[in-house]
Amino acid sequence: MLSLKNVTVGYDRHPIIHHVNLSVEKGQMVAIIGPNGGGKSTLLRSILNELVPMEGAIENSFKKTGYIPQLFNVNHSFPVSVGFFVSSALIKQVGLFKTVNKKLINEALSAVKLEGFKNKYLSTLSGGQFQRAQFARIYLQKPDLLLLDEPFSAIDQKTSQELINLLKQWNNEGKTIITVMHDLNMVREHFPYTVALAKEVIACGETDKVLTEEVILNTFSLNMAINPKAEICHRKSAEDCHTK
Amino acid sequence: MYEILIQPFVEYGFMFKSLLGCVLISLCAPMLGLFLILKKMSLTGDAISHAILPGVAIGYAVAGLSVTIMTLGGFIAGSLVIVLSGFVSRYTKKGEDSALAVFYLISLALGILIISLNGSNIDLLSILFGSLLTINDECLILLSSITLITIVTMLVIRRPFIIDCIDPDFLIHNDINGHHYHIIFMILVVLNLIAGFQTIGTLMAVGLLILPAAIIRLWLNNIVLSCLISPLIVIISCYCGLIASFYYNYPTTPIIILALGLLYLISVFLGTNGGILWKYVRLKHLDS
Repeated sequence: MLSLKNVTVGYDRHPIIHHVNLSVEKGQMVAIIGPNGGGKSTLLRSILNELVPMEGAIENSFKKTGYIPQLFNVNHSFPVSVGFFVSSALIKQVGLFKTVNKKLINEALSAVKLEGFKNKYLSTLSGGQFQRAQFARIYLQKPDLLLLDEPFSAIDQKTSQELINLLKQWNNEGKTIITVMHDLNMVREHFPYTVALAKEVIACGETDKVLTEEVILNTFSLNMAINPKAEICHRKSAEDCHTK
Repeated sequence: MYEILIQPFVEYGFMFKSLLGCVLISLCAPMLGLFLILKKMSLTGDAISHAILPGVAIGYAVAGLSVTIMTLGGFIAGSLVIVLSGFVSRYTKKGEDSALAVFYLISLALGILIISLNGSNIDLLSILFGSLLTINDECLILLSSITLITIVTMLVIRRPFIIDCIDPDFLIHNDINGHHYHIIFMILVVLNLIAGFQTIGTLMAVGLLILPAAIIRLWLNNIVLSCLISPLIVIISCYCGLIASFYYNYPTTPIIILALGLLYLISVFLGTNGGILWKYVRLKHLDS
């Protein structure tokens, strides 16, 4: 289980996510929606321990957390093969001296329909193909908690559909999935649970109940600008929010 | 023909040793240069070669013209600059280039101060331009060790090192500190610059790393093939330099670098991996 208890994370004492109380049960598939600058990526990065909360605590009892960041974080131009990129998932098992099991790589590549791309350079992949490669890599990592940051932005419909089916398959196999999403129709269609986040949790729970006109209007109309003359916050805590 | 091109290396021991020194450097310097280029750090080598100076100067002040002591001094100074700038950039998040620029300039200033305080009897020209033709056995042993250490280390760390180049965050999320491999790589660069400093001098030592790598990048994209073929480029240009010195008494180092420069210019036009010519040649397209 993952639980955020009264978590505030930000930069230079200004909160980006503010008094977030949130828990996600094992085996759930959760979408996080919210405006740009609303703290969605910051939330994922704090779950990954990349950012240290200024207040509150994060408890993560999952064994292994996998993460797909937004597209632009990887140096595509480096001349390595798709196979090598995918095999980097095994770096912990392989270490410095063992060799990678080629069968595993082929299996991962065929799971995302990238057979035949194994020896192609990473730089020759299109955006959608690269996203497939990232899914193959996370497949090999075998995490029980997956965090994905806008995995379907700038990806064509067919690829999105295939990748989301893959996510649902992994979810059925017991993996817990938390995905930052922009396309609310996709959220309605595929995600049983939703968290609406605009600095604070606006609503959370079953998708049908969260994605009401009122919540959507509230979530996306909040002003995300930081007040440079803000006073010290004295708020104790916010309401608990369980996705279930 | 044999007499002109081959005999000098058979007849004169110093010519043979110089060529052997070049072959040893050629095996690993271009490989490191290739990664420097791929990491967009081509000019970093230049900075590091300046950072080596105070160590060499202290080595000279302590033990005179001893290759081993001067090398050790250079290695310590260079590594110190690498580790310090790596450490500062990591904790202040202000970019490694600025930290490196600051530390290498401090190092360079210290080096020049030490040299001038020690009087000017040090042969500055031989440090700046190297002395490939007077290479001795001690130096050859040093070069072989550096080559061996570089190749073995790179083979061992290749996987995490390359992953750190493409996706450093991925290693962090797997609780692996990719930065260590970057530092190890940079220390290998220091070692190879010292090897270069023994042969072609500190001023142009970077040339043996960057130029052959820049040339091979214009022909090939494959990293492994590039590492295997690039030594040939170095050996050919060193051969030209040595022959020019032997017959015309030209300084060796500039000829080597100019030969590499010429190859680079040719590659810029003709190279099959991005050469200018291919932008104007329309080849028939394939059907898939």
